[in-house]
Amino acid sequence: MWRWLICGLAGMAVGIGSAFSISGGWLSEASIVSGKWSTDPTVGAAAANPWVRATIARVGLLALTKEETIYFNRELDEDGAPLVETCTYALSGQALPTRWWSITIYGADQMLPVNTDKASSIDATRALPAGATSWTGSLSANRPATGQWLSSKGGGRFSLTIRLYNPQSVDRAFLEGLNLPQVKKLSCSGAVAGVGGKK
Amino acid sequence: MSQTDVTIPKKAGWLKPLGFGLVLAVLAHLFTIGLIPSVIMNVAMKRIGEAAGGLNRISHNDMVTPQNQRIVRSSPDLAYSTCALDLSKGPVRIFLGKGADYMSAAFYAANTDNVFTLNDRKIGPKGAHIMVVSARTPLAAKPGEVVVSLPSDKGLLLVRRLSPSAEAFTRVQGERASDYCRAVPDPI
Repeated sequence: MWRWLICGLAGMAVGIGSAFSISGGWLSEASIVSGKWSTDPTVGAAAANPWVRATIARVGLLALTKEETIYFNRELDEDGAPLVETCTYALSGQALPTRWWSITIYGADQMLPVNTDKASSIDATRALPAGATSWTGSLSANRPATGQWLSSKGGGRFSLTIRLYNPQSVDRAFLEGLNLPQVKKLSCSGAVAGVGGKK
Repeated sequence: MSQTDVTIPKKAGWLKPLGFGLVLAVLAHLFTIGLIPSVIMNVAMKRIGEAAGGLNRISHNDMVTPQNQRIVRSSPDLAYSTCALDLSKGPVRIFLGKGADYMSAAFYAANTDNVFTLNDRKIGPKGAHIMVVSARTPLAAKPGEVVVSLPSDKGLLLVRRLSPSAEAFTRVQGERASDYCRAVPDPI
């Protein structure tokens, strides 16, 4: 009898645990990749399968369809290292074939890092004044002297999301060929406190 | 001693309990995966309904900050308006003012599916009149009204208006001042 009990409890634990792991993005495999950015084209689609729907509910609730917005995410810098609060990064990008775009920083809990810097995002209207075709900025825990800035203070090990509103096309080849912003590590200091969550 | 005298005690093996555990693992996995969206959506709808003072009421949120964020992955560049929809007693009528810049109105079913999105490119200068119905709701839409059909009685409207600065947010406040979301007492 105890064998049945052990196996039953273990089975339920594995089943529930794997459901939460998968829906938390543990096994997610974005199918469209552009540089270090990636997106799942089924996000926001009514036909998304139950696993995608559960994942979106946990990490991107109330997403729009890809025709309305494409959400590209990244957790790594250009060298493939995780993005962390203790490092300073240089951002660079160009005008994109989309109506409007914005880059936002999220912590491992998928929320904006809690700080009072008022620098949780950079958007096209601020980064690209009329006539500009390229931009640069900083991603760090401390405010730079000048320029566009994304504050990573309180972010621990974080991710970036770029929203592309009303993109010119949603074809795979078009999205894979986008010249999305680059994130290059400049320097690092100390250890990251409270690092956890996603890879 | 003859063979019939030998009795081998039947050992309780692990094979069947392991199979039982495997079946339970699959069932628990599928059940949990299926439950996650509706549970999370219910929580979101409850919070949004409470913030608006009830269902079928529109609520205009402040600019998103790390201090007031309520939903994962909110954008600080957008001004959000929400209405938790309850179609159990009939349809809901919505009006949204036209935005000077990007805006969209997205309708979500209780299972989180985005069933319909209307953006400013499809909204006339006088704004958008929308009637939201469920499959079993009697319908009497007015001329010019956009009809949105939800597969469930519960749902959510999320309006996004581009608002990357304090100046833009002030403009948006004016654009959405006339917005409403309310149950239709007599849809016929």
